[in-house]
Amino acid sequence: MKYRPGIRSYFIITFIVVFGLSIYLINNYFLNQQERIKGSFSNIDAKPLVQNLRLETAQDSLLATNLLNNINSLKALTATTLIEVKSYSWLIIFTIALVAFAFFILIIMKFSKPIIELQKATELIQKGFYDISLPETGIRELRDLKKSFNTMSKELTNTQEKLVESEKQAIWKDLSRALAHEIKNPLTPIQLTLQRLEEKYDDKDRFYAYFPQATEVIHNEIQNLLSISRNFSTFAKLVVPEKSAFCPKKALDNIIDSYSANFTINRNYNTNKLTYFDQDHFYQIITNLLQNAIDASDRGTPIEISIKEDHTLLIICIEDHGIGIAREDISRIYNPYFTKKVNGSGIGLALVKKFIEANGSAIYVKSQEGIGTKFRFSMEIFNENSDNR
Amino acid sequence: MFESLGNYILKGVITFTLLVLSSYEGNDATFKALQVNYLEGAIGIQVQLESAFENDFEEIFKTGKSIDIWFNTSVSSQGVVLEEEEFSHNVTYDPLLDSYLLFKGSTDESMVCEDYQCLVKELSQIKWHFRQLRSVSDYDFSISAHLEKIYFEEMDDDFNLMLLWKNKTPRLKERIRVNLNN
Repeated sequence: MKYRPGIRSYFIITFIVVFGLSIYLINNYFLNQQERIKGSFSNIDAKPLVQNLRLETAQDSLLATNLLNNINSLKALTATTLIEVKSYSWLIIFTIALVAFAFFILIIMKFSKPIIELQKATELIQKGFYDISLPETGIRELRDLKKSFNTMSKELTNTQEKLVESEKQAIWKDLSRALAHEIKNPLTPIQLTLQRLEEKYDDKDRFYAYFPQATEVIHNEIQNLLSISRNFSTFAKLVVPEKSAFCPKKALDNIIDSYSANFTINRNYNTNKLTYFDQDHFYQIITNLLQNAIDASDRGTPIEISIKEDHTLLIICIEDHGIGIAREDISRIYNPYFTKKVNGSGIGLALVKKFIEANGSAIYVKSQEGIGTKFRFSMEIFNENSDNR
Repeated sequence: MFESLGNYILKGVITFTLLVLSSYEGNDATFKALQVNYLEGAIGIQVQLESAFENDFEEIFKTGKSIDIWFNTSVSSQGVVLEEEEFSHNVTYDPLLDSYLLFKGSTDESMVCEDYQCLVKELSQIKWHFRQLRSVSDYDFSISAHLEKIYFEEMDDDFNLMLLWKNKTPRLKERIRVNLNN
């Protein structure tokens, strides 16, 4: 793992540089001062003065000797002091530096530990774990910071719970509205047909003439109701993919062939690589996305389908040059029963997303109103030796 | 025992840090050129203590204090110590005559040196002898030198002269085959 210096490293480096430089400068200053004192003492030479004295008695000589020895002792004292300072100063500095460094590390730990705790807690919040409580210990400012963080975390948890609840309610509302609408659509023609049958009941000829048409309408609308029920059931069911190795190029060709008589679909792929994916899901994903692209495009406007290789992945893109998706709708397109089509059920993209995620992938959309829409998802390249099975 | 071990470790740490961290130039005292002379029934040994007194010693000697440079010698053969001896070279400065009085304890010689160069030359020559036991044998000769603290009345404090040698004790150990039959 690549080492990246953190807050502690910067503090320690700054401390070492500033402390080391200061000590070096102070030590040099005092050594220079002592050198100056030593130099001044060395310049004192009392011998010529004493030699000019008349030393007539042994007592005089002894006194002169003592005087010269005292002066020389003072010189030696300055020299020995300087020697001691030179010898021990770095030892003392080194000891002080060690002690200071140990204290500094302790203080840094005291500072950085809560910061690292906060950083890790923030990362957890980023991942969606909102209910975090940090121990409110350490120095006052950091304790207050952790207190504020805990309060924020609690508020976030509450907000998240409310959000989830309101989202659930919104989905149920949308779902209920859409279902009611979907059920109402076939019920209206059934009701109207039954009314007309009742009207014609007295006139046997007209009744018998209309009866086959009426039963067909009722039958068709019942089929529609069953289809709505089936779709709803499929969406509500837990999707378990049954993965197998297949060639997406061939699968795409088969799907596109059934459309190509009526629509212009450009095939921008030539890879024969196999993928490991649920083939039924793949079929439903492509037909849904392709149908959406066709619905969004003017007749004759080409639709682009491509497969690109990216390391261990095959990237499938379906791009149209149609009406595009409004910015405010883009976040809702995968919501069940959200649709802008006149005859759409709003279940298609919700199912597409569900199938893709069930196969361990994700879907991305890029759209601009009036320009077009591009859907993209990836599939793992099948490798016999790997464990992607 | 623990106290002496602690002192030994502390001394080692200080010596090491002085070597690594000290900015003092000092003197790198070393013994060189061990010579052996055969005398009647004895062996004479001569060594030279080099680079020992170049820096700062002159100022110390000129205080007029009596200063000793101590030497410890030993001779051993096959791990058995045959002879051990401690002696000193003593220096005293006379400020009126500007000369040094030197007493060499190794040879019991006294001499006067008129200048510092002469003193260093004489001070660095160490000679001693020991009684020959066998005519043919391997002898391990060893010598070490150390300095003591001097007391400054003016400061009412001692100064450890070993600092001038950066707390390093010069030592020499050499094995020599002595064969008086040749």
